[in-house]
Amino acid sequence: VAVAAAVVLVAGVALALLWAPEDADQGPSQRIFYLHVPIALTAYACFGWGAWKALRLLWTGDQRYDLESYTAVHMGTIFGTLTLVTGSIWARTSWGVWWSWGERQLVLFLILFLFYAAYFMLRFSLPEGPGRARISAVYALFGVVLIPISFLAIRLGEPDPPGRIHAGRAADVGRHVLHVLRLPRRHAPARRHDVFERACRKAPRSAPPRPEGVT
Amino acid sequence: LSSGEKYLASAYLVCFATILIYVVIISAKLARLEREVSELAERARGRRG
Repeated sequence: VAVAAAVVLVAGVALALLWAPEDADQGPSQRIFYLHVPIALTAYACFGWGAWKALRLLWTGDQRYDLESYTAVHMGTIFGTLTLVTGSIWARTSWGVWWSWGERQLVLFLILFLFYAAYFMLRFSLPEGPGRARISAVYALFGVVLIPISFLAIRLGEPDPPGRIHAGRAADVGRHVLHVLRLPRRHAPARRHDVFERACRKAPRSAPPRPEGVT
Repeated sequence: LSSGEKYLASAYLVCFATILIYVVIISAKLARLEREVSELAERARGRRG
């Protein structure tokens, strides 16, 4: 299994770095997503698995689920750290900043991460035994609510980072607005207005292109 | 290397370094636990014998 995992890992990295075509907009930094997204999904899966094992513990009372839940949350926290680090590196290269408090998907993932980081503080502040297992399980189970919120925030978030408009041509404004139009209907009006306003503010101040034939 | 390529390389390196360190720590812990279990098993055998 270990050899198979190593082979698949190397193949995946090779495909991401050498085979996948380069993104026309973002260049090589877009390849960070081939690492960032699977790591984030693994973090969600680990937190979810931890919550499932916590539920099993509360349901059956079997103490072995406590260790399984703890291990899953532990793994999820490590992958969560890597998600934040790789996301920050991508933000730095694409947006020009390491972190943006205005991006709800970043903030929600940070909340999820900090919630599960606090799991360890709670766990190790209690004396070992069935009581600690139960309380840890309840806490791990509460955290699962944050997973779909954090996951959906990515889909409801900004369609394009603001830096792209800032660095791009005036034609990008139109493309940006088109992206917004593809958002779900209930979110579109406010978002369309926001993004359009911001796009107008950040677009280079140049004269609009004249139609052909007009002098 | 361009700026984007440097950030790309750093992202991959950070991830692999972290995972490698984690695997090394876990394998060291596992080796220690296995050693302790085998010592306990030997002691138990010694008491029985």
